[in-house]
Amino acid sequence: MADGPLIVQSDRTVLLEVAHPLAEDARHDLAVFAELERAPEHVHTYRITRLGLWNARAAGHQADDMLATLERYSKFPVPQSVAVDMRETVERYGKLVITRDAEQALVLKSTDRAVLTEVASAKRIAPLLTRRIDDETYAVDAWARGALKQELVKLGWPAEDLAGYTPGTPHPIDLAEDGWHLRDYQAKAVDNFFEGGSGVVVLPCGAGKTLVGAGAMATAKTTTLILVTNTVSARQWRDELLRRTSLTEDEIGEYSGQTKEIKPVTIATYQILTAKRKGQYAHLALLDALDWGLVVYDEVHLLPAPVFKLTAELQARRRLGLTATLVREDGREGDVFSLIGPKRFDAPWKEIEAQGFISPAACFEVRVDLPPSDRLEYAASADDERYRLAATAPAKLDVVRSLVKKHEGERVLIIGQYLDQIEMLADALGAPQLTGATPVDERERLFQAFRTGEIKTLVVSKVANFSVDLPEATVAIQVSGSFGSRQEEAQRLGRLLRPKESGLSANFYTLVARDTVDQDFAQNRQRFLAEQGYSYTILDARSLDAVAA
Amino acid sequence: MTSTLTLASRLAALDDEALRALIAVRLPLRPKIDDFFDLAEALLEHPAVQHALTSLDRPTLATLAAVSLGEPIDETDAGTSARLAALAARALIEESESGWVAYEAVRERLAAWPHEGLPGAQQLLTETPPSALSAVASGDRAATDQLASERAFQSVTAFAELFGELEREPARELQKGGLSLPDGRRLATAMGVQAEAVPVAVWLSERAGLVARDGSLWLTTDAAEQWLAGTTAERWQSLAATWLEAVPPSIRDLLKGRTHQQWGRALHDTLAWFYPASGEPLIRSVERFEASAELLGITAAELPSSAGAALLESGPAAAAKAMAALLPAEVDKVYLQHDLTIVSPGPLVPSLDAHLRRVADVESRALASSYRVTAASLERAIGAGETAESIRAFLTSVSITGIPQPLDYLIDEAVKRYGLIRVRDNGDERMRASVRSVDAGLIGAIAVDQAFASLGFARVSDHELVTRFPRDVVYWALADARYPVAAEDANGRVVGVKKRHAPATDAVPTVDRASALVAHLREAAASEAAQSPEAWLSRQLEAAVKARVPLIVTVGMPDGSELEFLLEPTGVGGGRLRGRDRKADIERTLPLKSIKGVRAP
Repeated sequence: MADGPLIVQSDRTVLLEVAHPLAEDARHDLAVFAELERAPEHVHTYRITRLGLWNARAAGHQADDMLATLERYSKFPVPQSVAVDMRETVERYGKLVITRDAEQALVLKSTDRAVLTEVASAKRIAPLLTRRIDDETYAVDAWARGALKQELVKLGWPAEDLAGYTPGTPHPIDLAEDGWHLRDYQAKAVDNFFEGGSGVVVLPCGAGKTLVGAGAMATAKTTTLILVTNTVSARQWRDELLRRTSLTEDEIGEYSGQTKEIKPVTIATYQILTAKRKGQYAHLALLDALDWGLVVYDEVHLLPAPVFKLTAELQARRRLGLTATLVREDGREGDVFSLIGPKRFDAPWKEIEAQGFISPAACFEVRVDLPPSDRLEYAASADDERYRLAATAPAKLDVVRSLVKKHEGERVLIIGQYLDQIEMLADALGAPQLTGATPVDERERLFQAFRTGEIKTLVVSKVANFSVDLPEATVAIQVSGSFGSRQEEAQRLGRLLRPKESGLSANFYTLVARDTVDQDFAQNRQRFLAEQGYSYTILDARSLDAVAA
Repeated sequence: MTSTLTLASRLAALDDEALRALIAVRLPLRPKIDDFFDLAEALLEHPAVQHALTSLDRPTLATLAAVSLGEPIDETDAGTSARLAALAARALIEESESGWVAYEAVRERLAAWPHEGLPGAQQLLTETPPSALSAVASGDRAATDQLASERAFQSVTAFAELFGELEREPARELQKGGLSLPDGRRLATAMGVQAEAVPVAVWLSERAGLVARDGSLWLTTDAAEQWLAGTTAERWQSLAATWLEAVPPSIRDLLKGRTHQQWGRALHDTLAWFYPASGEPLIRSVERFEASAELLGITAAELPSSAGAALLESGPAAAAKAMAALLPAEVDKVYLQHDLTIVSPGPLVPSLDAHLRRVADVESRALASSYRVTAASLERAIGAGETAESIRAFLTSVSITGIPQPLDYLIDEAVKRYGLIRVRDNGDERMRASVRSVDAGLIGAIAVDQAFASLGFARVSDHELVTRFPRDVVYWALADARYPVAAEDANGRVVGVKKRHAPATDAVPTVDRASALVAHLREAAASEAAQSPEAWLSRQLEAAVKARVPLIVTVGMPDGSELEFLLEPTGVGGGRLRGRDRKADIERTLPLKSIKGVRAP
């Protein structure tokens, strides 16, 4: 189409002009096979990756359909190199199949002998194949199913896993839909997951990933192992399952540093699973403690590397990954694809926001001038001390005070990296603090008090970043953070993206010491947040009063 | 009958231009040559003859074979006549009273060819060319054209980036030839191409006059600036025209006859027939033309595009017209976004692109290009004379969506901060640069800043520091540490400072070898010794003795008459020539002073 909303570039990026009348249609069709990389307000950037194409192929889409989408919406002719490459890449998926033979033994099959010969002779794959059965079939040891898929993806020949799953021990689980029901996109995510077998559902923070997990459990009706990032998160899962499903307290166990219960639905932390005693993983027995029919991986983008290894051995069990982003800081997206499974569902953040399920957040960077004495101290310090000095500049306190005052009556989270700064802020504001040293029960109590409104302001450290559900917070003030990682920013913004009953819009402030290394890190933050489509405003601390809340 | 002697005489009679041309074509190595006899000898050495033969095409070789075999030649045919002239100009044949004759060394070389796997004289005369290539189906043309237009657009974009990058920092040519590895990589990154495409682009750009070498450094020329102002089609036309001019006429004619046929292997086979002795060098040369043709979209997947066919058949203007119809339309508006990126939803018109580059850094160049505004890019723009107002006015004029707040803030911030600190040469050998600011706090911070410990700042006053390091080093140290610094010249004017300096020029001598040798030969010929007829005669006779070729020697008799002897010289010495008189079958000894002249029989 001439003058369509897409521009397909030869480097395999695809730009989408958001204001184009056909942008929504194009976005919908494009999301099938291209990864959204950046979504600032006017031009979104997608990238056509091998994993994206294989994800699409795994979901049943053909190369011709995908090319037709590009051609239908493209402003300029689709570069031939892109078309050729897409066809070639898509065709690779499914050339190899992992399935079972008549005796239910695991085999790697292909009708393309050249491909099979190529992969079978690869150095890292040959040891995983026990013997050649015929020209089109190799026998595979049951334990090698995950490792084989990993290596095949690395080699560029992803295998379709049709070997099926163990059904697990049946266990009755139903959704308790009294006065609520799964949102359409959540139900669709559950359907797509079951249709595909195993895989990942990508939804933004606040879009109800836990409910997708509950929906999957209610569909599978089997013993389920849920792996989460930390104990607080484990308890939130437990509470949510008790509230939203037919499960009772007796049926849900917690397996963490504090408690070691194994029940039909067991929630375990990554930390306990990867804990070692005398050089050995001490809690591996958990994986075989029950005949799990479903394993749920929360925050799959944070899955620790050792868990990948363990997951490689869990390939006979149905696996559901939940995450806000497939981007991993360690670049192991391919392992998520091969070991958890392809992406089964995703929805752009803004799209869900537009449906009213998560509240829009306005992002502000507040530049704080350092007084001359602090400026001199900063200048005189060594490089490795500078970030801490800039991040913990006392001048930020007045700004925090003024912001808290501006948002009086709202629930405010103040997020810091350094314990002494957190303590100083808590003292100065008369607000409770919550850090890694806070006992789990105390943490839960504080979170609960914050939720009910008993506590309006909470000063938290990194520990509050991941998987803690604080939907009532409408303001977050980040005074210091660790080096502007994309992941961390997604989490912090996630704190503010939960559906708001108050109707207040969320505000995310970052305080930055001007002309310091703090400002360099802020640039990354600005880029990431703006790329996610959020408005971003830079303010001078002295002009804060003029800003409308 | 041929010999060094006759060739030397012929060479001496050539004018400078013809001599230069001959030397340039025929003498790849640099033997020691002191006079025309040395030159004649060098030209008739077998390797030199072979070198000359390798560059000849089949029809010319066939003409040479005919001369060599004494076959009748139709000199009324214009082509044959031109080929004979070309062979003579290369000192491979000469015209004698009995007609055209090939020098003996040439005949010997040709005779040796069949033993070296090359066609013999008879084969050269009789063998027919390989059968014509089959034409490519017309249905493939559309696909070829699309791919060609993509390539054309990409290459024009890449060339623009090449010039931008060379403008920013010249690239160094190694003495042994070729770009330095780091510069090659840098240019490839800027152009968004593989490293091997860079030399092709530099070669084509040089031919187009868009880049030139100054000593060992590649720089852009004024023509590049004009080129950058053209539309995509105009830029492409210029490059395509250069490509066409670079292709040797003989190859061009071959290509012209193959505008609807596959190039690549089939073309190589045809060329191998046309240039039977050329071997690898020709294939490499052709591959370079093919690579550059692919780069420019003259061909795509070894098949000439419509524009490529038009180029060969009708010239650059017709080609550009064909290509323009396939190129994406240019846009004149862009999106400005909160993440400080600027995206042009299509190729941006060149003048806007150039202006945008002044205030923003290019992030990616493709159909849709993206730029990013940074504090550094704005400081650069302000340093080049832009103001907050002019930047805003320009951005507003091109933006589809206004100026986002973070960008607006950044512009204000950049203008406010720019030049708060000034660094300039101090004119003092010991304390070479000074750093000044009206803000004593900033000077105080710099004075204690750990990052500058190595600069050894000394405080002159609350508002000034000095250091023994030069201005540019100090400038970049301060800029990297985020201080709002501007560099000044001695008159206090703000000047731009390049971060990395081009290495000192170590000029590659570019002596015109042929001209130098011609001058040397003329000088030798004009020298006192050479002016004496005896010396010249003696040199001729020495050459004849060395070559053991018979001569007709004219001897002046005491009565004033002259006699001619057909002699086979055996030695020159003691003012006498010794030689065997074949006719009388005796050994003669002739005083050199009696010899009036010698010539080939």
